[in-house]
Amino acid sequence: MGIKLFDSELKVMETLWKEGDLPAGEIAKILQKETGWNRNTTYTVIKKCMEKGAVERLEPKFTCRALISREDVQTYKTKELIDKMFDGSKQQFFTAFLSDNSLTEEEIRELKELVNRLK
Amino acid sequence: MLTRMSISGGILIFLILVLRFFTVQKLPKRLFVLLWDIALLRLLIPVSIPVRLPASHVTTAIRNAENSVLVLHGNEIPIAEASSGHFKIQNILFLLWLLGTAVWSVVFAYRYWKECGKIKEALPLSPKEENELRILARIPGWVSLKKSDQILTPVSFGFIHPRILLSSVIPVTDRTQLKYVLTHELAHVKRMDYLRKLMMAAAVCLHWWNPAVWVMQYLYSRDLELSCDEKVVSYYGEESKEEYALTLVALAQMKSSTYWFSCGFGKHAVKERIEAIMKFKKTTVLTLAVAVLLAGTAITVFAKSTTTENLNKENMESMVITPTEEVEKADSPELSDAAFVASLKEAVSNNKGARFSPKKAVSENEGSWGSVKYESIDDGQIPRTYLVTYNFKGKTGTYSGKAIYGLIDMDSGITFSMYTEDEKDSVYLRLDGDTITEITKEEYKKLVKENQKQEKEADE
Repeated sequence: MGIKLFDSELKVMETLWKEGDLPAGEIAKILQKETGWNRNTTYTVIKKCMEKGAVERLEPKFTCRALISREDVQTYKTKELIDKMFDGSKQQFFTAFLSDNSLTEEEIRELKELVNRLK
Repeated sequence: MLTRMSISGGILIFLILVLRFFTVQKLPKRLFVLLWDIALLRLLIPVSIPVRLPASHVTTAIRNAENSVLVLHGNEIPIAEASSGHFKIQNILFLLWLLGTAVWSVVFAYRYWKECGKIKEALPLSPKEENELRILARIPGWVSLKKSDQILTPVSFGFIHPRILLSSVIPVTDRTQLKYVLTHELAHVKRMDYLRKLMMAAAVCLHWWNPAVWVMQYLYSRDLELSCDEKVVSYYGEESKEEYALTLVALAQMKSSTYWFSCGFGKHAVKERIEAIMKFKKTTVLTLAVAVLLAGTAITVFAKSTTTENLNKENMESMVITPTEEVEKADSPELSDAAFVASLKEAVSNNKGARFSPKKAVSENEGSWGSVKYESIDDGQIPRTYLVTYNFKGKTGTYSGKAIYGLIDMDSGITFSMYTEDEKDSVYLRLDGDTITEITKEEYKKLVKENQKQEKEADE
């Protein structure tokens, strides 16, 4: 199927694959040690995993269960990530026109020439 | 007041803009950051400490303070019942401003929250890798170093727990490039540029209607980058210029998303940055002198505008204070200052020994005359009104054309003194109900003393 996860989300999944079902609080404790995340950060990432359908939450104690296995996970390809983030920034209507967007190859060549000229 | 802050800030921004346009590639970039800092403070600090003031001004200021206490005390009611058209417009404008500020605050807070989330999710590097990089760019222990696949170019973020994030999407593999990039980000951290961006965002929220402030936000973050580039080149020496410039080109090839709060790498106007790097020269005595001169000028402008700001503020306070119907009738903006003074004087002498009625300040410029209504509200009785003509420049009051030095209200026990140049020609006044009597200095002092004694007894 292929659910795409960020590294941070993958980190949560790895914990669940390794330890089995875990209450959210436990995950937070483990990841605090491993990554230095605070509780809220871990909870936010768990929530994102749930939104992507990678994790379900069971009562009691917000026990988290992995819904997918390692094989189901795809990481984003570099190009996808770039497009994803770049599109996000395009929507920033007010800064979009101010920020310099990606450079064309032509522009990059010009910049390199500029460096040489000013050398 | 905010308007004045915004306008004087705007003027400063404009001046820096002009300077930047002509000299950006010639002067040290740090200077521009300093100038922007001054402009930022101008936009954010409502009342700042005047740098130097002659003694007489200080006395005036103190007396003014006394007066304002009274003014504020006596005028709660008129403000509440403000009903004239002029004030309606002001209210609408104020509400509009408030709305805009609220909207922008929400927009910025949302962006901040989003960025914060992304950055907090960053993952640690492997201990070996982290150690290597720390040594490579001399990153101290209090700055944490992490990696993230949610950013494309390296960023620095945070103030109390600063962190530098590397992108794991597009890793910078070249050691030399990495060294430059990290040094650049470290410079941001050490200079607390993150805090600058936060404050700038606050200024934009408050001054959202001022285009100059938006322009400043854009150029400020651009100059922060230039200034950190400068740091890198001066740190590694001029031989590093070319390498560093090429690093920028390499990083610019990656499309970068725009961050509002984090200090990103390889974002702004690469061309300008490259030019600045390649033209970098060690600071010469001449540029230093120019820089000091400019900074000094800017600071002076800053101090001066705050001083006038203070005056204007008081001015405005007095203006805002008298919004009653009667006031509106007396208000005739076309009246010349001299005519207004004459009419006020007449009003005062007609009212001698009789009931006082409120009038309104007419002219807005400093040094013009107006009158301020004072009301004392005691024991829930009907507020009583005093009229004192008022000179904004000297903060003097007049009664029948003579300067008032002291005034005591026998019923409420309120006393107040005004500043007059010459005590000899001034009068002391005593108010009993609606009647006003001139008294001597000695009598006045005696009354004040008695008044204080009574207050003490009442307290005990």
